[in-house]
Amino acid sequence: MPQKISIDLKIKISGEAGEGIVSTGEVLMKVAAMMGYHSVAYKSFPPNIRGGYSQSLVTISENPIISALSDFDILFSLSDSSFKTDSKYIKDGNLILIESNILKNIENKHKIDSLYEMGATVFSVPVSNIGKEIATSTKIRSAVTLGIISFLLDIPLNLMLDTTSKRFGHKGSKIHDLNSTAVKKGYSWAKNSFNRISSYKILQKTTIERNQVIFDGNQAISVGAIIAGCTFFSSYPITPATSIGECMAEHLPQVNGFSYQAEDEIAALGAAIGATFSGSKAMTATSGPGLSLMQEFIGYSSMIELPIVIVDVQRAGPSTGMPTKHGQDDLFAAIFGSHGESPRIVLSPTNLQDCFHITVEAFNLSEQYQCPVILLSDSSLAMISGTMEIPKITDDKITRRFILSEYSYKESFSRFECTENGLNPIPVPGFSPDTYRVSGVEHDKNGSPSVDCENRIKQIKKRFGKIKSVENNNSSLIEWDLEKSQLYKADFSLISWGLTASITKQAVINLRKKGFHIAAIYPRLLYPVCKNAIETLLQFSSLVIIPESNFTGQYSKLIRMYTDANPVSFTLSRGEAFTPGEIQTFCDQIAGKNRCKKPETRQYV
Amino acid sequence: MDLSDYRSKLKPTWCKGCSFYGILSAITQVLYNKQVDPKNTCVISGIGCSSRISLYFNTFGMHTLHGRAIPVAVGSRLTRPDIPVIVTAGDGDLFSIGIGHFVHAARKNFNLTVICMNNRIYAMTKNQASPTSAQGYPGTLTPYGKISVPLNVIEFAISCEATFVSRTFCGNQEHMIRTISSAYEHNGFAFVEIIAPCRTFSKENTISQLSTRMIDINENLSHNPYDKNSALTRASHAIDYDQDTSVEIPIGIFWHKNTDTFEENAHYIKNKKTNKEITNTIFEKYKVC
Repeated sequence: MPQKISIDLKIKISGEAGEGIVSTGEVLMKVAAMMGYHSVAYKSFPPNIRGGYSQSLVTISENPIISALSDFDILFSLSDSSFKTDSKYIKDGNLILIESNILKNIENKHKIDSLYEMGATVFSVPVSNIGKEIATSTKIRSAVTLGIISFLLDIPLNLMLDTTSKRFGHKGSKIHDLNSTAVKKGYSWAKNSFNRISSYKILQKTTIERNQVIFDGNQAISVGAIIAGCTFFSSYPITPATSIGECMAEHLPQVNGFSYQAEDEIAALGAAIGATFSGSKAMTATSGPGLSLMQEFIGYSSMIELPIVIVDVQRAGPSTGMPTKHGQDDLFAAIFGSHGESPRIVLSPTNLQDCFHITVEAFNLSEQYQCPVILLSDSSLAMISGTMEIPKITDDKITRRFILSEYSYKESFSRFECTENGLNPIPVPGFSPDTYRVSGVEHDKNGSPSVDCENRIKQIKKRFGKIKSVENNNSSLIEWDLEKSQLYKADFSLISWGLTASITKQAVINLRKKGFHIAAIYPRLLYPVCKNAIETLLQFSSLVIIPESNFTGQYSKLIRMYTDANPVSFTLSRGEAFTPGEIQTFCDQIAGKNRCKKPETRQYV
Repeated sequence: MDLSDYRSKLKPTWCKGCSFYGILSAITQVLYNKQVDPKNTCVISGIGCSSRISLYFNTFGMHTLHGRAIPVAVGSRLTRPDIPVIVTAGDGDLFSIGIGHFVHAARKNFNLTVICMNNRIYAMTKNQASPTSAQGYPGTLTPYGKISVPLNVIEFAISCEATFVSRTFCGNQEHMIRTISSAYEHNGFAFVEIIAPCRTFSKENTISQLSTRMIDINENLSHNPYDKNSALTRASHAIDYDQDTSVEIPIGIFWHKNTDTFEENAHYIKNKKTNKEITNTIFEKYKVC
């Protein structure tokens, strides 16, 4: 009798960088998507072309996936050093597949014995040897691995062959044939060597229920920008933001837009500012080092009050830092970066879907509030690749700036009038009935340079006052995570932003299963600070825990400035994101109550 | 349109007798002669005494950051190729902090008129040496004399593959109008250096002294602006005209080339479909199966 049990499988493939680890994970993710599942691949690798620890964690689920990072159920370990790293995280119930050559190391053999005692199932898999019979390059192991996984999870072989060839098809027919052979050989070895473990089968869905696309974080941002109406993009190549430019370069001409490669980041933002002045929705994308260079122009765009979107795909800093590694280091730089006081809005997506939707919001807010919006993503989120519902954004969901037209024009028009909401119509060259001139110099309501004291106070109050209403007018930007009955006292609260928020969300689910009462918010609006939401959160508990992937606990410090919160900061500045387990352990320790029920046994089909 | 229709209500704050008043008149005259529509034109400047000029026209204008007029102008050109852009900036702005942007915009041949109002110092900050100052110039940061030789901006612009390179003089209104006009009409990166001494800080060379030394290479020396070698030779002549006060200073169009602009080659796919129809097809590429 087939049991109806939820599929929720996490498979980690790890090994040396440059040997196809990441590709393996992506093919597996794609195959699962084609079988009708939600799937997501998280990857991490060093900034070299070869060598060092590389991993791909694939999550396959019947339900929408909350966190791309978590503990694995199955580990496929392809190198000695990666096994050393991953073996620390092996738990009872895991299935471990180890490349046979690793077992030649005595240390590893001892480790395997202890794993058996722990309750893990271990198989030695001769991936290298199978690969050697087919081709000399170690890259062939990727296809062999996929063949073995196909058998293990009962994935139709043809589907695996088809997806593999599509992935590597551009490399020519010889490689294509070698890969096909490798997949088949891996599959047949597995068939002959172990019985399929029924716990790990993933069933073929009979229909593809959802209308889905596969994006990575950067592609989601790019497509989000285009849907929001962006027609100009300029950038300078920088890890990990370059792929946003690649996506824009491909698609913008299709919507009569243009993507420009500038000579440096300063020129990139400068060009975007020239574009927005001329009436187009414009965006640039960079990482930490580029954000530093752009500070002067960010202040300028705030002063001249024009819409512009700046994406910062954060990486571990400071200075050159770790270009391919995760970090949430740029919060202060995004909010306060630039001399003087130049207000801007700062947003941050928490997961793959957010990368699309929050980018649309970024454009809407910048057009509405006539100011720069900085979007903080990060390198891990940029490279998380997975399934997503095709978003339906209708015209009424897109905001366009208030343009000076025949209708909105009065003889006494002033672009920088201190109106109640601080907003005024914007003249566009070649369209509006009047011209204007902008300047970074402090100016009066007509834009003329002015050092008058009273005028200065009015203008700076207006620029800051404009964005005060962002939280109240956009409450959906703050995601609330409460229990069913909203009237309860929580043991503690959590606030989390960026990728860490989706990881925290999964941790909260796990902690609630253990009996904790928790209230949490995941703000996608980082600045202006969501004071109302935080004050409300404090009603649930005054113990607020904030995990973030930086060293100094920037968001903790930020909310101390603006609210009565006295948060406990949980920082990890190591170049890798949190896992839900780490957040759970920390909260458990801080909350200090031993409320663990017996942990649920995991169930698979 | 009248001459006054091209000027904004803002009164210039330059010193009495400043070279830049002449330049303001000349550019105004050029716009008037062509009966340009101010609502369809943009003047973009950097920071400095000269860069204030963008605030005095009634066109669209952007007074940007020091050295950064050109990148902003590029963004305008790429999104609105229908709006002509004039970039006005000083020698320090264009050739010190902004020199990197100059190189790439010239090489890419963006359709811009770039006017360098060259007073050979930083005047706004009160008399420091600039890249075009004479060797030995006693600027306030180089009181014992500027050590380096001046940058030859004409030679430099030609080397950067600018497709129209010229020099004029603030004391010759007619020549300025003619040169700026030609530069504006040129389809591509048109560079105009305007010799414009600062009467407040650079008292060694006055407008009247310099005007006797100007020689028009097109009218009086039958210079062929389509010959690059000849252009470079002429450009290397008399760059440091402070040292030798007898030498003639060449003005006119040094180099001129007609070739594609960047905007003409920019990859716009002209599509009859509406934006909405096209944007929905973007998802096709990423669909699962």
